[in-house]
Amino acid sequence: MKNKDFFGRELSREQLLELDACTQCGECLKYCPVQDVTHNPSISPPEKIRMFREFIRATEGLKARLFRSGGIDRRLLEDFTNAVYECTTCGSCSQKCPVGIFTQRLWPVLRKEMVKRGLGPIGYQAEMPNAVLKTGNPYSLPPEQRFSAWFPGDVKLAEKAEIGYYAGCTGAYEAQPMVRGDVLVLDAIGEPFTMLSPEEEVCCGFPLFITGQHDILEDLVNRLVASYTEKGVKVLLCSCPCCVNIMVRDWPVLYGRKLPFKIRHITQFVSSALNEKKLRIRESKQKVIYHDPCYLSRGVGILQEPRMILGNIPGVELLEFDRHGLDSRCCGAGGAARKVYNQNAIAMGRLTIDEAVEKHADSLVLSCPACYSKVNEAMIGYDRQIPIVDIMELLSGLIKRG
Amino acid sequence: MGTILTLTFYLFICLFISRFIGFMLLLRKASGLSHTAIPGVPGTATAVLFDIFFLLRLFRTNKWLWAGSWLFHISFMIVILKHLRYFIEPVPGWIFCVQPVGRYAGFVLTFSLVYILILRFVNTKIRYVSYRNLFLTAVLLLMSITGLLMNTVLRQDLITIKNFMIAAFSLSPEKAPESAIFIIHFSLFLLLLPYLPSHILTAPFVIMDARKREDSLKTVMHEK
Repeated sequence: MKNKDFFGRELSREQLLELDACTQCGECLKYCPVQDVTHNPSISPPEKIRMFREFIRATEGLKARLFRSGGIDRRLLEDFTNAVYECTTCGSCSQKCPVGIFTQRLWPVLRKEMVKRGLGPIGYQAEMPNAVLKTGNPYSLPPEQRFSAWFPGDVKLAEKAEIGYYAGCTGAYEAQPMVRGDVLVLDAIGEPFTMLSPEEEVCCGFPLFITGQHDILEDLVNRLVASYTEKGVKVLLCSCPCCVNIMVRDWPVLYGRKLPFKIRHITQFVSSALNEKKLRIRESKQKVIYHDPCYLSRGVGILQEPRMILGNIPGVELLEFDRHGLDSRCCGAGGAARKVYNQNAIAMGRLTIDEAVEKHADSLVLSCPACYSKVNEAMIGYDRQIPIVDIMELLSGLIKRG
Repeated sequence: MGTILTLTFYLFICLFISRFIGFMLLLRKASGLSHTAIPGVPGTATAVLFDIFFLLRLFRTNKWLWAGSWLFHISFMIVILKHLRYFIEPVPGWIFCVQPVGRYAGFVLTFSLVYILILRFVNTKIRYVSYRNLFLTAVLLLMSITGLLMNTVLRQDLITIKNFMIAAFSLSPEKAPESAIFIIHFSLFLLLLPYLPSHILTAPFVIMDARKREDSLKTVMHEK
């Protein structure tokens, strides 16, 4: 696609309206985590929208129509591409937008537009489609190691079951205590559950979707849906908010029809099990602070279940961040930016650590593998320290057996 | 002078309409998928109307800015309605009813614009400055000040002004009123036209969509 062609072909009509509706008020900057650490308004939401409008005007405006568009300066396009990829796509700007622009959805589509023009993605992100094709995960790690390092030896999986569990690539390779905790808790609940083999459980498509590389998404989704259907799955559980997000929002579109099973976040299943007394939990006297992952809270509206689980642990006192629930602040791991704009991500992670320490929490509870991996990394070499634990990791260590 | 002003008026109106048509053509070209597979939740008409009319999203985000913005939008709308009597003959009864309110709305409009500008410069937390918005606010402020002056201390011959406006609308330009303040006021309006933000037309749809999306968020993962 040439850079004289219509900018916005990838956008839906609603998104074109959104671009036009931005009043450039700048209110969103107060809540943007990237702004918190870069203080650079040129990569802010209203500036990205202003630039994209300029691109549209340059290719489709009256002047361009009357005198033929001369194209857009490549440097401007590169600046825009960097700005749109530096974003963590956390959606805070959307939450605070006076007109309600759905930016958590808009930024990935603008990224897709840049990919079509050969300008995106950035750095290692460009290798992800090939990595997924070859290894099933975006990190190019061997599929045979997907479960081997963390899957508890004493847990037995059903060959076929109505409950399926999807570990996800980031959990399986980068946040293993989290997925181990998931499996231990599911095992303790006692209902049979199944998983795909390490070769069958491929990437859910989210890293490709979020970086604008959509070419193999349909194939991935069709493979996964077919595999889970063959296993007789009626409810697919997952603990990764990003995976859950693409599963509920986009899998039906990519699959072409309604999914043959329901998608549930693991905290939903476990909080129900706790309510039904299927799990017994030991006391643990501690003050914990819970961080809402952006794609779990603003993404799919899971706010109460993690709190319900923590509230069900005897002795646990739950603290809240100043910004929590739908207003939570990104820990820096989102938008596939954490490995490309590592310094930003570390700085954002440290803001989360700072607040947790200042609130005198004994541990910081997370429920996202990307958050888990990045906030742990942010702790390395930092003078403020706090134990980081995934919600299922915490719970699995407190299960009363027998 | 009258002919120049009227022709400029025609030119800017044509540009404004072409902008609108251009946007409609763009909408036809957009071929991307809709937002998501999650359907919106219907039955929130009252909430949507409140969101749009009272700018409730802005209220939730910044109450100080909301106060100024809401007063600005409402007073601007009333002032526009008040101005209709200069373009329509015979003047409908309801436009006469707006006149007394319109006079006060002119003061509110000026006050709200000054307030918004002060808020922008005083609030150090605001990290983003849209120069286009500042320019628009300044032009609107000057328009409202010249309008107020004409309404209070520098009273105008309204019949001449109305004749000029009606002539312009009926494509037969006439001599402009010999009033410097009116010429300034009208020129500022012409200056405003090409920069007039279209969000006034598109934002209500986006607000409506945001309400549906937020309502449906509660059911994304909790459907039976």
